[in-house]
Amino acid sequence: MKTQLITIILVLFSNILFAQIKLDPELIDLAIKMKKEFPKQEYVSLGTSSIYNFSYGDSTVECEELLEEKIMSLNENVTFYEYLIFNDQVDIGFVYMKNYKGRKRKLVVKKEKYKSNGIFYDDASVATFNMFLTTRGDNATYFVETKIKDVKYFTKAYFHKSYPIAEVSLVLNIPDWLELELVEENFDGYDIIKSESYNSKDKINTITYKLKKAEAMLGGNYTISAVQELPHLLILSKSYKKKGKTNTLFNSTQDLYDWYASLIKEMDNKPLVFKDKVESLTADAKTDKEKVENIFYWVQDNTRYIAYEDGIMGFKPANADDVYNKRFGDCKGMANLTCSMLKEAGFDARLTWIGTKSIPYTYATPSLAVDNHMITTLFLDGEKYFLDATEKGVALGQYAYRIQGQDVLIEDGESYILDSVPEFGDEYNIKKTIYKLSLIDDKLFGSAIEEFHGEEKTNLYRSLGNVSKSELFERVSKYVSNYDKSNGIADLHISNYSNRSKPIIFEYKIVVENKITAVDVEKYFSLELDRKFSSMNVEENRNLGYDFQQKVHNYYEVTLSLPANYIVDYMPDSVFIDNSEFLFDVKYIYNKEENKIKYTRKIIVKNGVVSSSNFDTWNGAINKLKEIYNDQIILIDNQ
Amino acid sequence: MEINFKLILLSLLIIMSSYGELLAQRVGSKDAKREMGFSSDEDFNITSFPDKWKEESAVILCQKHDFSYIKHGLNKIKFNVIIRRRVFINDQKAKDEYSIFYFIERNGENDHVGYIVEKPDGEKINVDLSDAVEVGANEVSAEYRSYYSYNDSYKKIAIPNLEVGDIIDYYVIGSKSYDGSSELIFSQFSFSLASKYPIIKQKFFFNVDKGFKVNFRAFNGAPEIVEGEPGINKQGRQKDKIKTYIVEDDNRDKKKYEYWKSYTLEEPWIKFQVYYAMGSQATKSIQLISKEKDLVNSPIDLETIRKKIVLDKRMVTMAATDINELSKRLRKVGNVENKAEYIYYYLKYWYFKQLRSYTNFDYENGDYANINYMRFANLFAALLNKFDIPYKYVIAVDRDNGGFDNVIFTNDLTTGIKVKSKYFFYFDNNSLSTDIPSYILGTDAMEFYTDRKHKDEKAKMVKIPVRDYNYNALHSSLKVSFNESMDTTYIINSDSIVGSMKDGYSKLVLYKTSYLDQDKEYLFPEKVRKEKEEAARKSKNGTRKSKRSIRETQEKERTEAQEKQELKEWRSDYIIDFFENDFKIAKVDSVVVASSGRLPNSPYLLVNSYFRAEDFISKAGRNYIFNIGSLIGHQLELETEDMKREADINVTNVLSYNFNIELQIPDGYYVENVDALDYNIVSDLAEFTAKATIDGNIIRVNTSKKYKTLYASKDDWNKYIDFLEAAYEFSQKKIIIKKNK
Repeated sequence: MKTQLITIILVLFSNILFAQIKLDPELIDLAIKMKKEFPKQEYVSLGTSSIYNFSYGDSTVECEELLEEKIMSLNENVTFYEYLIFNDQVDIGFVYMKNYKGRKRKLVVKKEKYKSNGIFYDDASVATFNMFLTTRGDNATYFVETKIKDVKYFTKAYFHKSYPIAEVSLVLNIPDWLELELVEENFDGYDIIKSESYNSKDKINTITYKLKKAEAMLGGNYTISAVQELPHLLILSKSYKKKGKTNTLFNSTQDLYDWYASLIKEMDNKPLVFKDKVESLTADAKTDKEKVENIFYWVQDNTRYIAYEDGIMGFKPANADDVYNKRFGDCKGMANLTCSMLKEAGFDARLTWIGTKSIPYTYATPSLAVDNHMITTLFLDGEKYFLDATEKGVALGQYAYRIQGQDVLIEDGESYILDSVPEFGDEYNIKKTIYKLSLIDDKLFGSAIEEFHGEEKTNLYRSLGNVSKSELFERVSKYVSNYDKSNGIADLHISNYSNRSKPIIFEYKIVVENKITAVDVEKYFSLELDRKFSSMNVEENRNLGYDFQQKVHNYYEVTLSLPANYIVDYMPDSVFIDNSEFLFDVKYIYNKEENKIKYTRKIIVKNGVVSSSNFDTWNGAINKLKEIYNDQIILIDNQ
Repeated sequence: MEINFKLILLSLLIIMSSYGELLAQRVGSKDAKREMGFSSDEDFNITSFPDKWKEESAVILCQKHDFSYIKHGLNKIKFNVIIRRRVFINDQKAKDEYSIFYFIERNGENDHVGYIVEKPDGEKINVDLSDAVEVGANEVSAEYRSYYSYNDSYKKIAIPNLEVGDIIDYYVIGSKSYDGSSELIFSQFSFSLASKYPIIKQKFFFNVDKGFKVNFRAFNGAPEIVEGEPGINKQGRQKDKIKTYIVEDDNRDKKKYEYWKSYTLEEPWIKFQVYYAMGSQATKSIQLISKEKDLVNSPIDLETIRKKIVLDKRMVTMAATDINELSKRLRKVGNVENKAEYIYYYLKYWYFKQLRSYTNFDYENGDYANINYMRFANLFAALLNKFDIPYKYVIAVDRDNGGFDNVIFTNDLTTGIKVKSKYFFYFDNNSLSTDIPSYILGTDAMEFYTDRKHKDEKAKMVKIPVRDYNYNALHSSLKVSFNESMDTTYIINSDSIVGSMKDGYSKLVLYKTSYLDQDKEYLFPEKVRKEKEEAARKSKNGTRKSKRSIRETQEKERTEAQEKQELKEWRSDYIIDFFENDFKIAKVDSVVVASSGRLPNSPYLLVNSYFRAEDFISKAGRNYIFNIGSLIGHQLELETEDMKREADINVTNVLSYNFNIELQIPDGYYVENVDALDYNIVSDLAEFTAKATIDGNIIRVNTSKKYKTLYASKDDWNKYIDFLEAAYEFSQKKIIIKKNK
């Protein structure tokens, strides 16, 4: 009861207590100065340090991170939130703070399951805590201990966060008995200072990295993964010595494979469970390829995907029969089911590890950070096919952008096979829209055809997959009308919606109203109906690249037949911008003999990424594009 | 008002989460619970559905709601509910929707929920609930969450092996115990029998013990309630004193959505509520229950309604100092209506001051609240009594309820006070004494005196007045010009907003406005003037400030400047909100609230803004196209399916939107296509008019869009189509700004 009373009093008067804090005037001045420098930030870090210590665990090496960070408020009444992800391999130890006077305070840590889209049976949890800072310049330091049970799960260390940090230091106290390799990734262009010292008494080599003024990591829509652009340490745990014996961790790719293979051996697949299903799927198939397609597509269509984690949890796939019975699983489970069903049908199928595009490392780097995904490799008629059942709507031999060109580690008994998934050019993902229109009575009449290939097709397939049968035509009509009531759609025909190997095609009739302004003998209008990319300016201050998650190839064409009595008085300019990352080619052409205007627009993002260094050129191209979109054709009645 | 299945489920979760004790006397062992959940009920053998529904995502083959209210000994009441539903999964969308369920685990048991997947060949697969995983409350959507759930752990179950063509059959059981020594009021249920999916069969079953009262009404073709066989007591024995009531409904098409449709007046609708009140307690309740009858399923007489509602008189707990303060000021106020108005504003000021003192309600920083309508009427009446101001009590029926004949809950009604000819209804932060809630405009009401002198007088039936559409109006005056390079449009906008039109706008632009200061100044101008003078005098004579004090003052000023900036950004949303569908606002330079519109001497909310917009203007060779129509904001776009009308039209309020646009033609240019801006679509129900004129180098365009009546027959839908289409068409209009030849 007494405790409760005190709590209540504290809560009631907490504002008053806080309001009376007496800060060092220099800190207030510093906060004001930093607010000017970072007007959008509510707080900054005056320094963050992570110290990594290593010790022997029961059967391997444990790693402990001691994180200490001093946060200063740049506004009044600011709450600083911190999130720590943990799981069965990572524990959160102590968490506390010291206020601006250095007095130790408890922090309330709330732990709950980590929420991410569609994740079901995932070990990840999140611990959150917050610190309340009352005035500008108010500051507090938090201390967190994290314990990693097995050093092989300690794979990366970063310098940057979502707010500016005055100084970051990463300190690794590596004992003589532990062999770690530190790979400095993306250090170019950053003034990161490395120093080393050796404590001969404890036989510990201390490696320190320091970075001053670490900018806030600012992303936005479609942010590129941090490992692709930001400096970080890739930590390779090679081996350790204990009682005179050297124990290998991941010294080579073979070591990594051996560990993965040991997990696979623990699986207990029961193919009998899906034997009948495999038989029914393959019974009427005329060729081996057709059999494979039937199995692969069945898994795609009937097994719900459960998001995998880009992290260190669960490297062991669920049993194939379990995934089959439940009809859901993560990438490993789905790969295992695909693989096992193919084997049941008599094919040579192997489990395969892969890192998606967001991971820039190759299997030359023996680390758990190299991959985050699992697929199946099928050996058929001397060719390899990579089957990713999590990619709904993908045909056999077609590959999602996220795995294209990526290294694969294919199981092969005691050994392994290294290969890579074929990579396709931007034209693989072409989205083509072609209108043939005529101008009659201040309206545009005509027909259109839209084609979706590659990634465009699978994206569409996935989004339409959730539409009810009765809504499908209505949804597609609205989509092709650009959600504009003035674009009337009729006679819509949808082709290949369920045929994976062909592009999805929409054909329809269109009447465009309210878009032509007619004055006396003149008519004003634009042939740009969908204004694609016009709102794709990169946000101000963003310093992380723009990742479209696919190579983009967007082609749009309108051919307009003019009434015989009309001639073109004016047409908007053309745009042509071509560099290593993107192409904008937009033009109007008037064919006098046929009295037709042809408007074409081609936009290509060659590798699917616009680097931060190219943002100015990109924004310039978008602005130019908007100018064209806003410009109008003028026709004149010459009779 | 509409409660769907998932909301009922929500109520269950509330029941289960707030009390650990689960499951009723009728439910003993785990197996018994399961058996009851999936009872052998022939209605749940339905496996197919008519062809007319073959394109639907899902069809509800059968659903049943079983509510049981049974006494346990002298003073213990047990409420049990079982909901069972059987759904045919007809496409991927439905498969996704029914693939995940959330529930709360209690005492380590999951036995109050059950899920079976039934395959086309009849195979039944029991979903193993031990596969359910714990999830954080933040993942659980509102429909599954209880109000107390923040720290609750939820379980999430993925329904395995669910495929298109399967049937999912599931149940939820809830139970709660109550102390039956006093009156008990159970949740109100009010919902359409139509759902987002068609329903082949549905049944509502009530098992009520002696002492329970059921109020039930069916509307718009919904089936009536019928009494069934005697019900079952706690030992599972059939007893005459336990009554059962059943509502059965078959072959129900899915719900159809239309603009301005009153679903309660159009859809097959049922409402019910159960009370427990023994003997004389029944008369004390403000609920509309009958002392004599166990079931009320016909109109409740007006006298009962009148007596019950006015019964809830509460004392004003205003301190003597407050009363004295009010009394002093009232002496200076003229006639009775003005006195009542003053009391209204005083009560509002007092109420929010109390709210701020006793709760964490942050009135001055944008928190929004309103006083309960009954509490308002009773507090206001008590104050009027105190100052001998005669008044009538008013009870009005909410428009969506049709009329007094359809009333079943006290919530169907709104109470107010009438002083002479002036009505007063409950207030929120921004209300004026003249405001009448839009949902009672034009509805049936009864008025009566409550004093002893008039106790034998019958209530007078009246209609709550509907004001002219000009009372709920937006007048927007826009001065438009361009930058030199003609790619940016400058807009100086003055909005004047009055009546119910203010509701949405006020919350946005008055964010962080110090309402209490405004109210205080209005109520006590002299006192506030003196306080201000005193503060100014003190500040002038103040002693020399220390360095620390100067620093603190500077810091305070900085903070205030920052808050001002934040406020500006918040108010910018007001502009962006209006235009965001059409154009990109490049920059909002200023938004100033010239008048809050929340005081009787200045009822208009006046907002002046200045902003720049991109995309309004586009180039065409040497000329420019200006999207002048877009200045009236985004207009409703009727789709082909909206052209047919099945329901009558019930507009929320009569409204008018008026725009006066003045466009400065740039030097060296002239304008064409101005004639195309003229519209004159006028009917007795609605209108859209627009008139454009050129006056030197200014184009003036005046538009007006009016919703003139609250109600119209569906046969008149064409009149709405005409005016809505005209407004949309206008919003697409462009003018050509041409270089002089």
